[in-house]
Amino acid sequence: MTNSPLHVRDDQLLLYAAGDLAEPHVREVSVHLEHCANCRARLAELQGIFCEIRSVHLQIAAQPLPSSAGPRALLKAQLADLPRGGTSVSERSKPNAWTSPQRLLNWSSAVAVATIVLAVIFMTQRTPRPAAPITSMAVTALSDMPDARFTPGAVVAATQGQVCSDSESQANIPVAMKTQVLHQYGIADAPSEAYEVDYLITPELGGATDIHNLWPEPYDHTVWNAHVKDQLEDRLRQLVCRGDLDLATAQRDISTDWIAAYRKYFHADQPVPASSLTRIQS
Amino acid sequence: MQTTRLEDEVVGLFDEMRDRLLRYLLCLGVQLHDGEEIVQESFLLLFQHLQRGKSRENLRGWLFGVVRNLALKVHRENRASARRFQFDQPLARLPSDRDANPEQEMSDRQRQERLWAVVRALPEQDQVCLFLRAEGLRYRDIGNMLGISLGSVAASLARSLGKLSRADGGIR
Repeated sequence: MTNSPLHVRDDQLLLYAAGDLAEPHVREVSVHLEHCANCRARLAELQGIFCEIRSVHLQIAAQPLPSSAGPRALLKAQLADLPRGGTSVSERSKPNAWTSPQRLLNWSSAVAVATIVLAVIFMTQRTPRPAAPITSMAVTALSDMPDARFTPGAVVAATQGQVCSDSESQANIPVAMKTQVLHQYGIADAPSEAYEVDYLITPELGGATDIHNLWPEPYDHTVWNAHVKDQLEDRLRQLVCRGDLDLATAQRDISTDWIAAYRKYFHADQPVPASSLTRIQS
Repeated sequence: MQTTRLEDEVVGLFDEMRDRLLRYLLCLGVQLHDGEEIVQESFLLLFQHLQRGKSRENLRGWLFGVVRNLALKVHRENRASARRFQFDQPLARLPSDRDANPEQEMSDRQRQERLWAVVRALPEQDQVCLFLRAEGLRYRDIGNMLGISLGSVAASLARSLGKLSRADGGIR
């Protein structure tokens, strides 16, 4: 019970202070502490040192941790890629693996680089859709799909974690940029209530405020309108942040053919009524 | 089918332990992005460990040991070239007491550095027990997590705090 016959052991003092000392010893220690200034001082000393260590620990550990959704999705993907019963994990753990270029390209920078590369590929390799006439156009010329020549999609170098932790990433589009988009699509005189100049890849999925990521999206004259695309954006962000879909795939799908993406992620050929959305997204 | 169950188990443990392991690495002086990599690597090693049918006893304690060893290994490998870890200066950016004069501040910081050096030199299990206690876990919860008895947790903390106390000129 004691370090010496006269005093209580440190571990017993700690258990007593934490309220975890076994019942038969509680009264014994309590009585001892009442009469032993040395043990009272020792307990105060141990508690003081611990408080100090805890304070330093809390300061070091206080920095906010990024969401685990991205790392979780990465882990799942890596586990799925492992050869069954193979040795690839130990290979990965070899010291030189840490210093190889591939290893140094850590998961976050890999995601960021991948998204930039995807954006470049979209801008250079996508088959152009038939061009809309670059003349004054009526509302009916507003298409439910962007023109890939003008709007291939562009992204910022954001990781999954950054995208999911940023709740206010929707930036205002400068008026001059909106005007430029409308001129590009040849609809400078289209009534503003008929469309919104919208992001192809929403900033909530890492889309950039860049003219290559903006297009005039119709509000109501087609079933595949801005409101339906908003549903898709919410759905993709939910999947990405839950770790069920990687960010690069979401960006690629929404920018390649957002209607096809909608059908894919909602498992529906037509826009889903708002009343059914909660059930689908849960 | 069995592999899928193993994957689910590993991902489940990741959900439970990731933040705690990451904070432990931060306390070892590892940078956040390096910590994320180490945690990923640890869970891949855990998967392999389980896939090979090795011991399932105390997997959480096993994870703490693996992340600590990986952190030390990477630190050693990178020390000569790029200084990716800051094991030697984890307290450098801690906020100081605004009311303290420069001399007092310097003295306090040196004392904290001395104590933290003792923490870093503790045996693995003692270090993890102290870390988990500093995280606010009760003795019983620490014991459950590491698969050791309540008495062993108390003995571990007593050992650690005793060393810290002696380093600080304590009374025993």
